[in-house]
Amino acid sequence: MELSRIRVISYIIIGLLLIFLPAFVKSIYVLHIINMVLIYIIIVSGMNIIMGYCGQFMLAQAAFYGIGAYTSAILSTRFELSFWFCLPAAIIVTCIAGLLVGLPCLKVKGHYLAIVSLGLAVVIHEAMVNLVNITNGPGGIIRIPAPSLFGMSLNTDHRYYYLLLVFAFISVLFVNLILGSRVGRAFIAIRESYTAAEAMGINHRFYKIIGFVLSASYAGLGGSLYAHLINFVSPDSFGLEELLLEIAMLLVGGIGTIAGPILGATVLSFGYEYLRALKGLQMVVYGLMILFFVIFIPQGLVTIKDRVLAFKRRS
Amino acid sequence: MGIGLITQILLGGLGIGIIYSLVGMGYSMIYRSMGLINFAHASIFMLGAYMGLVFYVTLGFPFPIAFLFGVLSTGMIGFFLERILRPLSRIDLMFMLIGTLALGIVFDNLAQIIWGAEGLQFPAPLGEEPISLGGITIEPQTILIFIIAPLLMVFLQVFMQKSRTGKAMRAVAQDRETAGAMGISLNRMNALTLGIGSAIAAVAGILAAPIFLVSPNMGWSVAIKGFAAAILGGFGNPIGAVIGGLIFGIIEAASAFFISSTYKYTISFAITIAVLMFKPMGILGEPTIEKM
Repeated sequence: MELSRIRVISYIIIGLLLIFLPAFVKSIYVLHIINMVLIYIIIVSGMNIIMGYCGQFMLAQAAFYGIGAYTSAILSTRFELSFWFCLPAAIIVTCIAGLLVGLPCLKVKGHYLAIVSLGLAVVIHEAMVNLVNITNGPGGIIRIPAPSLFGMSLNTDHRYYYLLLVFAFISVLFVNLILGSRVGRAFIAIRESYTAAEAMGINHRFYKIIGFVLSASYAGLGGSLYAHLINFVSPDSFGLEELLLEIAMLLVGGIGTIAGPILGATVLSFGYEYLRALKGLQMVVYGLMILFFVIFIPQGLVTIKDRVLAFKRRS
Repeated sequence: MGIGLITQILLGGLGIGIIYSLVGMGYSMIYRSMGLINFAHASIFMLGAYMGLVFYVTLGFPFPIAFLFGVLSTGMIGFFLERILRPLSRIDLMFMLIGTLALGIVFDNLAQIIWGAEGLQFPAPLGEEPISLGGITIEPQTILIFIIAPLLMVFLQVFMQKSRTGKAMRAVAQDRETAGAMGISLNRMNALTLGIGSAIAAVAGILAAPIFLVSPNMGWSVAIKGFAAAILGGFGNPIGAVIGGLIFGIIEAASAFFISSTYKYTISFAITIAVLMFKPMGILGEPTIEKM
């Protein structure tokens, strides 16, 4: 009882901090990084559903992210539709893509699933580059309008922050809801043992497809939000490096946990930006940092509190 | 559509396909021995090309000696890499993927600091002049690939089957515990496998260097196809990797000629995926250990 009261109070404090954060952060640069962190929280949380809870090694999240961003970009520039129409449209299109990519992926598992989904991701990326009359090719799409809310244009990082905060909050909450439901329990059963899950009457094909579509929808949401924040999309933003960054965030934070994507996205985004000071050595140190996390803290940063406590108890 | 044209396409496809085969063999050997999918292999391939470049162009050795030194030095790097990669083997696939890729990022950027981001020219040792043979033109570099790669594959096969060390390496791949109980040092055998796998990647890197430019990022596109080739052939089976690589090369050359080279990846991967739909364990697939 006492503990839960402390929890509620700490949640309220964190909530208030997040709401008033833009007032403290004067630097547009820092706020921009924070906005990107929020987008990554959405995308990596989606990835966590299929990789962390359902245990399927699906490597197409960056491609779905791109599909979401491009759908929103094309609808809002070419057809001049409102953001509030583009966003759900982007999610629906990405869900369909998730379904189409998911169907062949049902056949394979392990490394074979990794290469099939990666192959499909490469195909999607190549389509972004080559379908010039739809995507404008390598040049990308420019001048994507910022969304407006009740007549106010969300064209600054400070205003956009609140939009992202709401969506990130709903996204994380929704993962929580899924986990508590029949679907979430089926995911974990499939992750732990195919055979046992099947014996319990869980149709693993059906639930895997749900997992593929759910995680893709997160990427679609993140992609649409990204397109309207940056006002520009190009195929370079959704390639292999992007995928690796997202997986690294998931692992560094802690795979299969709610807080993992939040911690991972925060640490790696800020880590990357602050390592810029090292100039040429930036990527070397960044790579070593990820290697260090993966080898020494494989359960992720979410376990860091327990580890510190255990260390204190020992000494 | 003469027979000459088909031969031409086949030769071109086999030339690049052998490069994929060599890279794929490295993945399969290392996986079999250590249970590690080494995605830093792309960077080893790149390092091999740079090592060749250093000995051949910078230090001015004749090509056969530069080739040998380049391959041996990359093999040494692989041998010592075992200590870093050891904690990454036999863990969950995702951690392996990110851990080895992070190592690859470190290598790529070190290479960029040392040699710069610009692609460097690797002069073809047999010259650039294409050779005409009964209506078929062939690059001298392709001939060199056709000579060196099969020799290497035969040598490796004999080494693995006949030599004491080769037998020990196969024993470790087959059954770790028993091999360990027989007094075989597991870590040394793994280091040796990584060394040999890296040396093969260096051979591929040096042979491919005159075709591509040597640059810090040159490894990735070849390594993805090499990995796909290893999967296509049946993962963990080096002979499967050779077959997969050759198929991949021919598909790529044929689709670039008949359809369009802009959708090179799409067509190659579409065929890989189609094969995996019918043979989910690859062409020479033996049931692999399920780690998920």
